[in-house]
Amino acid sequence: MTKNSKNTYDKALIEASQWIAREGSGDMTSSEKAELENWLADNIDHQDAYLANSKTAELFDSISSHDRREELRMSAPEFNDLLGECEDLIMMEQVKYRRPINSFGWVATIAASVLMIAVSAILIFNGGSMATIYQTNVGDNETIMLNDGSIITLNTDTRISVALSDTERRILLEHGEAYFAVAKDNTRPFTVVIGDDIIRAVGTAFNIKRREEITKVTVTEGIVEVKTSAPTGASDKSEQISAPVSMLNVGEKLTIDQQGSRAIMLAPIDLEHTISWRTGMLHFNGERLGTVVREIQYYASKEIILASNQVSDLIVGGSFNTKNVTSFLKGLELTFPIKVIERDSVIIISYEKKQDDILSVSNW
Amino acid sequence: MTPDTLFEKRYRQYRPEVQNFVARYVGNYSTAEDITHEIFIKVHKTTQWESVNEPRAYLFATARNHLINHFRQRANHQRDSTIEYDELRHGNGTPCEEMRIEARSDLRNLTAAIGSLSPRARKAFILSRIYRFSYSEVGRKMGISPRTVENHVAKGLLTCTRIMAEYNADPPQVAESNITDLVLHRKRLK
Repeated sequence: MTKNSKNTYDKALIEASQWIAREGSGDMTSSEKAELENWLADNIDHQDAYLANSKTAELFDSISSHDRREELRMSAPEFNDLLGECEDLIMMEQVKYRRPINSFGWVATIAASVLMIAVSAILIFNGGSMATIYQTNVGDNETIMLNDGSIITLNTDTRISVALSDTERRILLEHGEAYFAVAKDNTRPFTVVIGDDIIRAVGTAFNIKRREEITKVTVTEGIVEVKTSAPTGASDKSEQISAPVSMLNVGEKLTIDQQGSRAIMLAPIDLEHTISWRTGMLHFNGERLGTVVREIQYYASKEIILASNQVSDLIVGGSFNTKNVTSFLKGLELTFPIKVIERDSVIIISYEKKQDDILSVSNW
Repeated sequence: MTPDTLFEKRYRQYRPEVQNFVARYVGNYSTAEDITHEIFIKVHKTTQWESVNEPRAYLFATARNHLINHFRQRANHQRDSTIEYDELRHGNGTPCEEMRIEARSDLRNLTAAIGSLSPRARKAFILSRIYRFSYSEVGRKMGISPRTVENHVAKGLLTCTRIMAEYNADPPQVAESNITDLVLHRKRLK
């Protein structure tokens, strides 16, 4: 290649990268599109430069799926460091507190009478013919449609009570996980009660996962208000009354536990994965095997036993078909130094050093 | 000579070259093979082979066009690529070792290229291209305009593309024996 043609091609590369970045904005005007067509039609250098940059863009696409990204983070330390630099930006806290004032009349009422709500919830849910109970077994999930057109999908081992009246739609999530696609109805607020926490939707879709003392609310459409009870230890009633209301927007996940509540913004792909259980898939993201097993236990009828701390401290990631717990664990056996043994009522995972470690990811 | 036999002749003559060209831009072997077949079929449907003076040049022009369209469509449906990847993975288990090794050297090059960017460009690029936040979301997080994010992304793409081009100066060649039966492939496409 002569010096001149090399310079021309390099200029084409620069312009091509700008075009592809422009395309990535998703807001290209039609005149810009026409301009790109002309630019491409100009000469072969432009076309080849566009192709070379497209290939790069596609390589990044292929590593940006949640699983692939986490897999690479675990196997490639430099890549992991690079992504680690951005963690603060990704996890940027986006909690918006709102004081319970009169413009949120219903919030003020609820906040002032936490005890009363607990009582009335019991009356509604256990007392009258108004409440209907829906329940799923371990490993199952089920979708129900309410009279108002709202759709609720129940994950494994989940129990909810539904009470629809002329003035409100009230759901009690006793345990488990559910996805709510709420039909708009301004005259009847849609609220979900979890212990002392109250989640109110405004024509919206969101996921709630309740695991022992931890509740996670993730919004996939619209806006959701969450009124959390005061953190434990705050026995003072006035503190309960001033408990914060969080406003969650699309992509935000609120975690409520004994320490209080925190909201984070999820990356789009992580948001998808939060609700992928509806299609039978769970995704884990570089987590301790102990944590992973605690979660998949909810899907398994057999008790899963981790034989040692060494096993539960392994960092694993990947996708998991909720219908097949054993094959997921067997899959881990291939890449991690563990042995999975299945018996009639238990699955035991023990530590076992692999003979053949040459393919170990640490060689990267 | 019937058009079909001339087509078969041209196919045997130019296919390895065209497929090597396609493979330079499409990482996956079977995709490169599919796209090459599509290119030949496209030419066959729209052209009388007898009237083409420079079949090689004509084929390559078609190939470029076809590839560009391929990428532009992909760019418009970015999310699909994830789904494809996941299906692939769950359908066939883990990708073969050969693919992994290639992917690793690619990853090492890309990591080095991104590492050479300024810290702000680096963060904007990673949030946009690896975490798929929109330019305005990245802008909001970093306190810069979406247009500045776009410039950072362009710079990142350029730097990576240059490094990849240096590394892949000798693309893998397709051996004659790898050519599968075109008739079968055309049946599969229908």
